[in-house]
Amino acid sequence: MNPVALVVEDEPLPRAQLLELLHALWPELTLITANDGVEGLQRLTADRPSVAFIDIRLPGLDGIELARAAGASCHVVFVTAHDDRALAAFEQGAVDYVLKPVTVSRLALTVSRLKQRLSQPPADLSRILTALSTPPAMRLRWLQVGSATRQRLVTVGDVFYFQSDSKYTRVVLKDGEELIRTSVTDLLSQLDPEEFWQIHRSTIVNLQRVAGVVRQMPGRMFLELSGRRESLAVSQAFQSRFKLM
Amino acid sequence: MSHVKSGTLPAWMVAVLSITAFAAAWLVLGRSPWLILSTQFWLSYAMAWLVIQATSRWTRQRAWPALLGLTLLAAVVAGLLVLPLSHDFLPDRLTSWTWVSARGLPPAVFALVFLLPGMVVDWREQQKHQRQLALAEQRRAVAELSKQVTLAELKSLQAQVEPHFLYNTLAGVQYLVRRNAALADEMLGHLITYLRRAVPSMRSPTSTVQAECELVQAYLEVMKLRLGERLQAKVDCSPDAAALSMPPMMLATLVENAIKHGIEPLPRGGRIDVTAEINGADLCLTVSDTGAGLAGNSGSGAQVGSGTGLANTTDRLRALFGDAASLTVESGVQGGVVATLRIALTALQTHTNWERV
Repeated sequence: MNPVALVVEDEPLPRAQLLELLHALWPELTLITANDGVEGLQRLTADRPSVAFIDIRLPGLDGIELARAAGASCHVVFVTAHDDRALAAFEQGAVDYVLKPVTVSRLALTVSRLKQRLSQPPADLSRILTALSTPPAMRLRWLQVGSATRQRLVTVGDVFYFQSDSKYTRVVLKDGEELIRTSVTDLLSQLDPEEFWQIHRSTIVNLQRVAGVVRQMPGRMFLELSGRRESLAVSQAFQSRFKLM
Repeated sequence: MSHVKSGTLPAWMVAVLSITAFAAAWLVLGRSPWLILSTQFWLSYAMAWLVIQATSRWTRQRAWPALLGLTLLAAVVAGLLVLPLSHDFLPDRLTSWTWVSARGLPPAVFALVFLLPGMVVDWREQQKHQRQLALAEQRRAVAELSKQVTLAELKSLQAQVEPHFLYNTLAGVQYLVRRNAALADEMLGHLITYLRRAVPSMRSPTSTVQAECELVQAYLEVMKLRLGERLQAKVDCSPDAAALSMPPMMLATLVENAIKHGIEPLPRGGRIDVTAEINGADLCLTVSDTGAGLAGNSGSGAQVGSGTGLANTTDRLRALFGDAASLTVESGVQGGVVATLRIALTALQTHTNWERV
């Protein structure tokens, strides 16, 4: 019984190339293809391949999710672009990968490894999948705001301040405001701490938008904003940062 | 007690010497009229000088009439204060104006005459110093701004260098070369057009609307060949906008986003329309797609993002044009996304001139 390999790749040219190379390197292999994640899942359940080449970035069902579904029953080889952060994750595991665009020598190595491992159960993918699914911590640069029918993207630079309002957070912009679900606490951990300061249990201000600091005698401090009328109260706990100004 | 700062005796030493000299003179000569007069002169000059020094911080921030007025006042007051030393001093004589002016004016005038030259020199020094400070401040501000712009440009370059596009397209060409030479030729042609526009574009601070449209046209032609039927695209550059200058690689970023987030994630693909035209007083560039749209895959509620293309483009716009330019990214009427880049025509003109300086 010839082994069956599934190739899941959305772009026609790399897909055709991978098929051709596999046919040359492993003639006994029966090759089936899928053009997107959804089709890939269908072929997995229908044809039960023992090997699957899965592109990490796929339309429809994500390549990672597809691998999760495939991993128990077949040997998965990830096809990944050159400087994906994923590369580091692969270096440690027993899971194989090929770089896109595929080179003959690298694929030959993968093929020989697969041939050896075919008789054994597939490697455990759980660690790799977790590593791939967790995006690296990056600074928050833009937000998606708006209603269900009409949404837009707003860069954090355009935000004057964030203020919590019961279950939502107000995102106050130059000519209006929007609501998002992310809490002030979560925003704090994602925003650039040099540019965004917490001034109150419920408020984070964009330093670029602060025009001045007003102090009133009984220990009260307010921030004036350049472009909006209202002033923001700075609570006692956070006033020390502004005292140096 | 002179105003010259360097090369002379320190003020305290002069003070000690003069006090000693006067004390000695008084001891030796007793109360002689000319000794009294010279003591009065010296004292009134000293007191006036002390007053000027003490208030120098206040006068520094005022216009010159304030300093002149103060000097006059200090000289007069000092002249009056040394009156008791006069050889014919009697308390009731203080009410007589003739006596007061006869005995008080000489010390006051003496003080004024010897203080004024120093005042003038000092004042001039101060003004020169202020001017130099202002100039240095201006230079620093310009340097800071150009540094910011350079940083923003650098960031944009880092984001723009997209090796995936290049490698994957070349790999596609390599595959096609022996199987479908005509198609390989077509794809290579578009890639060459893209590189011809992109490489000088990335290095220069300005480009033109026409060049940027040709760049994204070539890019889209390559992607159409690579994605097959999943991508349809059209670029429409209006003739009156074509010659306008604009910053490089911004339109390309929007189109790359449309491909990456709009078209590629959908099995059915979609359509991208790029337009460049003059709308009112603005240059208006739109990239609209019928792809995945903003609602994405996380369902309702806001999605938060850290991708750098959009943020870098808005950073560059703000650094170059301030409020005269805007970039909005909104969900389109038929699903998909519309990204609109607007730059005021007047700002573009200033930008071009600034770059040429």
